[in-house]
Amino acid sequence: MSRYTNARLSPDSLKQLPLKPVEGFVLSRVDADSTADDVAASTGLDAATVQLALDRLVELGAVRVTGGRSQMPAARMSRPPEEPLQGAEDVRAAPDVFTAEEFELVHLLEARMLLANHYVLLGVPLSADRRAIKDAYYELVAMVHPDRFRGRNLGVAAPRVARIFAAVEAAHEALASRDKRARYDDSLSDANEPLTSPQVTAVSSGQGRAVAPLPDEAPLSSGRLAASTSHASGHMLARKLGRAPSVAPPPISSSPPSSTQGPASARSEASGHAIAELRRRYEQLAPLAKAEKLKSLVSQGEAALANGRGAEALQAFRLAQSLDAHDTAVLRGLTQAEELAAPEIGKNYAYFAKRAEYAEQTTDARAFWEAAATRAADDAETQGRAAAALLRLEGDASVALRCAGRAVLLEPKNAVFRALLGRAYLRQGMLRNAEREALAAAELDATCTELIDLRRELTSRAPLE
Amino acid sequence: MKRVIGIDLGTSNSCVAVLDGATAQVIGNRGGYKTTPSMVAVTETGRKLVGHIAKRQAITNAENTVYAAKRLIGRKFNSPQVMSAVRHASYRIVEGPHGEARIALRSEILSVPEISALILQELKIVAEDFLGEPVEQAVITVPAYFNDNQRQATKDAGLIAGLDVIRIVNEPTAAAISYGTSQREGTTVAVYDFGGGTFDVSILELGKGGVFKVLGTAGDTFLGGEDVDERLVDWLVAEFEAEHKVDLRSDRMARQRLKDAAEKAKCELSSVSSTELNLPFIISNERGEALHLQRSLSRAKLEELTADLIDRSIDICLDALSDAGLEKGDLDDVLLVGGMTRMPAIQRKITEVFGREPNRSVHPDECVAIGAAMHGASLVGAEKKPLVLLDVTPLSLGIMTHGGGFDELVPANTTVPTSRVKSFTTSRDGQTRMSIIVQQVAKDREGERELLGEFALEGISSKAKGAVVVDVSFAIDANGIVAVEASEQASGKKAAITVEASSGLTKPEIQEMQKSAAHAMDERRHGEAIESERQAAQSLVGEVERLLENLRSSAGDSSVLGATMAGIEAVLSQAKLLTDGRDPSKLKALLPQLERAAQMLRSLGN
Ligand SMILES: Nc1ncnc2c1ncn2[C@@H]1O[C@H](COP(=O)(O)OP(=O)(O)OP(=O)(O)O)[C@@H](O)[C@H]1O
Ligand SMILES: [Mg+2]
Repeated sequence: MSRYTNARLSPDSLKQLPLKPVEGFVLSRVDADSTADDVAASTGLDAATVQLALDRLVELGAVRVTGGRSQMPAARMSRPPEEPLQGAEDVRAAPDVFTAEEFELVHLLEARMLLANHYVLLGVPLSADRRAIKDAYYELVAMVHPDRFRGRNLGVAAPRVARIFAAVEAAHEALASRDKRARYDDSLSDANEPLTSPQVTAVSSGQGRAVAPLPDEAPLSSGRLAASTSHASGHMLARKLGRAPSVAPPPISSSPPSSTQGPASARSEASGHAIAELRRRYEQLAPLAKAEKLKSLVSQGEAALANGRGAEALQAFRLAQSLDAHDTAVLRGLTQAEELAAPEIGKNYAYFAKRAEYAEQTTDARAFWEAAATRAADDAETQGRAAAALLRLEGDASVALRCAGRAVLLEPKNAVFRALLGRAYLRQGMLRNAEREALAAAELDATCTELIDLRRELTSRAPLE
Repeated sequence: MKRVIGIDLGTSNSCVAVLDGATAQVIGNRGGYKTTPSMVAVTETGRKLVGHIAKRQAITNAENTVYAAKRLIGRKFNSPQVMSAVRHASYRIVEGPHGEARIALRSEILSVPEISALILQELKIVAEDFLGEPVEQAVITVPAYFNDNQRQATKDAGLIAGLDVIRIVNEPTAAAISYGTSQREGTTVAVYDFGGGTFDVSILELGKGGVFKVLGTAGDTFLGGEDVDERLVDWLVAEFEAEHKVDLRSDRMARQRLKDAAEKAKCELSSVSSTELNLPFIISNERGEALHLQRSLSRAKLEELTADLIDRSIDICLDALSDAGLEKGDLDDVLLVGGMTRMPAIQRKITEVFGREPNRSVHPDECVAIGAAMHGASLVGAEKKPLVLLDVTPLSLGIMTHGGGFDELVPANTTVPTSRVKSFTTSRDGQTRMSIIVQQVAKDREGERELLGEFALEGISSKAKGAVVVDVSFAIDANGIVAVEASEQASGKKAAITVEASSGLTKPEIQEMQKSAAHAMDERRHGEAIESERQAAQSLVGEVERLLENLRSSAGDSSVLGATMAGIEAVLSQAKLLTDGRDPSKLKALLPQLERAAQMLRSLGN
């Protein structure tokens, strides 16, 4: 069970946070070691809203979260773990989230990292010369070096920056010398590439951590990210075809993507070379290596399945499928992995949905919520949150109804879900059903805020009938 | 915005700089010098002296004057380097409670970080006087080749001095910053830093967008001007012994005088080709006759005595170059840093080996502090154009395996910050505790592993052997300081890490030292206040006494003046008592009375 602790930011710092009133209210009720339930109880808000606000507060660094996967405390080398001495880092930390540009940069780079190609990450074509690689690397590393974010409280985003930095370093390292680059280029022609992502290669002797699961389509299709998205899905396509990405993504610039129009033709020429180069390599791919790879992917996937790591399994089997679309072991694994990974992917979609909501990209948010609900079909909480969100965002009422219905089916004794279902019925004009749910909810918990909303909606609706 | 100072805490000299407007500048100390000798002494009365004043009394108080403490910082007492220092130093080095080297000064035993803290505190005051505001944050430089223990101990010294050390930066890297901001992008430079105690070389590339990337570094933390001086001293001692059959090393004071004379001669020989060493009455023989040392020394002789030291530095340079995957021709510049690079033989050798004149555009004594100040400003966002440093770890980091082997996790010359995760499994049923021994090793010196600590992970879930996997991450931060973190892979069960073998100071020790250093600082400020009152009072007392004497001899003990004189006598004796005391406020209160008495006597005398 996650526990939340107020980070007790100074009033001045707090004022700088982009909080919505409800988030401010939730924050005011977070003490030390509160659970989400505590907060829900003391705010009178529904669990989904509270969770949403808490997640957001954690992301902003206003609230610290403990519990879940527990971490043993870090130890400084020369002495046992202790409280910081006077003047230590966190006292100074002023809360500050990413600026819009940084936000965009971080997401773009994370998307590139998932493609796990050093050239893609650095934003250079396969044919780039040493100078171009260096320049791209320096430009990028200056933007993602942890010092650039020093003294700012990035909350849970801090390790993301660290990971990107490590990946950029690894990319440059792999392409820095002629020998290493030749070796890396060879490995590219082998379709195994996406598994040896920078995060994994950065880990030397231990096993790599699972890469965060990615929904099928890169869920970044918001207006501002359009340019990068088209590339991202292009690579995704390439990956599905069992090929390494063939086109270099646009170089990063801190100005909006539209300004990268200029050198497009030069780039397409360069990428033309790159494609030819890649095709040549791909055709050399030894069938033997392919079979070998297939075998190792399948066993990797099966091990992940056995350990309950669905996303990892899915990734392995998807790659395996790209090598051989008819192998029975692969297809079987794929089905199992999809099943196992679905809730995880669903949660991911929920996360992207929330983010879209904050960015006020309502259309995206609705689509992501629907996707989340489809995936996490057996997770009452996700169903409930999706239902609440779709009602709030005025999304497809029939989907909201389905989600709420599913939530109630899974947890019939949950007043919030009942009330949500009632509201969904009402949206669909099924007044009688709505009233029935209101009664059921009232029996379970008469003070539930969703129920209050439902009652209000019912009374404002009644005269029309 | 509070300003960040940059401190070059050198073996021989220390220097402080701060960003003033757009450029960083070195701050002169009270004596007007840009650098402060890294020396600390304790006087007979227990007063602590730092800098020039400590250096001036070094000969007469050799046993209680510490120099080159940096050579001891973060080292174990029984390490070969400390053992050699024990033989050569004029002060006493003893073993501390964690097996570390400490220094005995009169009745006190001080840890090395405390000695360094005194120097840092002095520089902090210099900066505060200059800026007219308190200084809290600092960037401190260390030799690039320092290991984790040495870096940690330097950071502790900063804490003890009441400074928040926001970053530890490598000296050659800092030098490169002060050089690099005026260079074009893409420049590749080798920084050759031959200082008082350490030799370092770093190869850097100045990348696009203010990035300084270290491509490779190498060095020797026990190769510096001190060793050059030591060569000269050895030679002088041998010559003297051949002539007089007396070992000059047997006398601490003689040793200190020799060392001073040797250093002076070495520096002179950088500009002249021959010099005289003259030390009259240096020692007496067993018959009690005073002996004098007099000898002339040529530059050629000095070069002959020290050629192998210079060759060693060049070898290290070439090593660093090949580690960086470069050849001599790839370098655009060789930058000279450190006082020793004034030696013509060094400049000649570099010209010879690299086929180009070295660059001497930066000030060899000041550029490190300046670079540190610039980096500090950039870290807190005070620089318009931020700098990004990509430094490397000079040593490889790993763990000791069963049977005493070394399992390398992070190779030398890896860019920091960096981290590696290694998974460990339990090897016994029901095992709940694991122990990991972390070490650092210099390239090609497998035998000399430096123990950083022994970590015990406790509270691991008790299961069948092999069933529990613990991920241990080894991280090296931008300071080059190592941290170990552990998480159990499957369960959420909490386990703690404790460090068992470590030579560092503990937190309570540091806090205690911090307190006593702050207290000493107050005392010192207080002492300075009382000193100025005391001086004012003393000069008045002297004047009143003289006038009183005059009056007495001219007017005799006339009864009219008798009462007045008695009153003045009373004030006088009170003043004398207070000038010996420790309360400046009482003395201050008495000053007007003394002033009135003086005025009255002056008017009577006329
Ligand atoms: N003119 C000179 N000729 C030769 N050597 C000199 C000259 N001036 C200073 N030195 C030597 O330079 C050394 C001090 O150099 P520097 O001040 O750069 O060292 P440091 O920064 O204190 O030490 P380190 O960087 O090794 O910790 C001393 O050994 C000193 O004798
Ligand atoms: Mg130096």
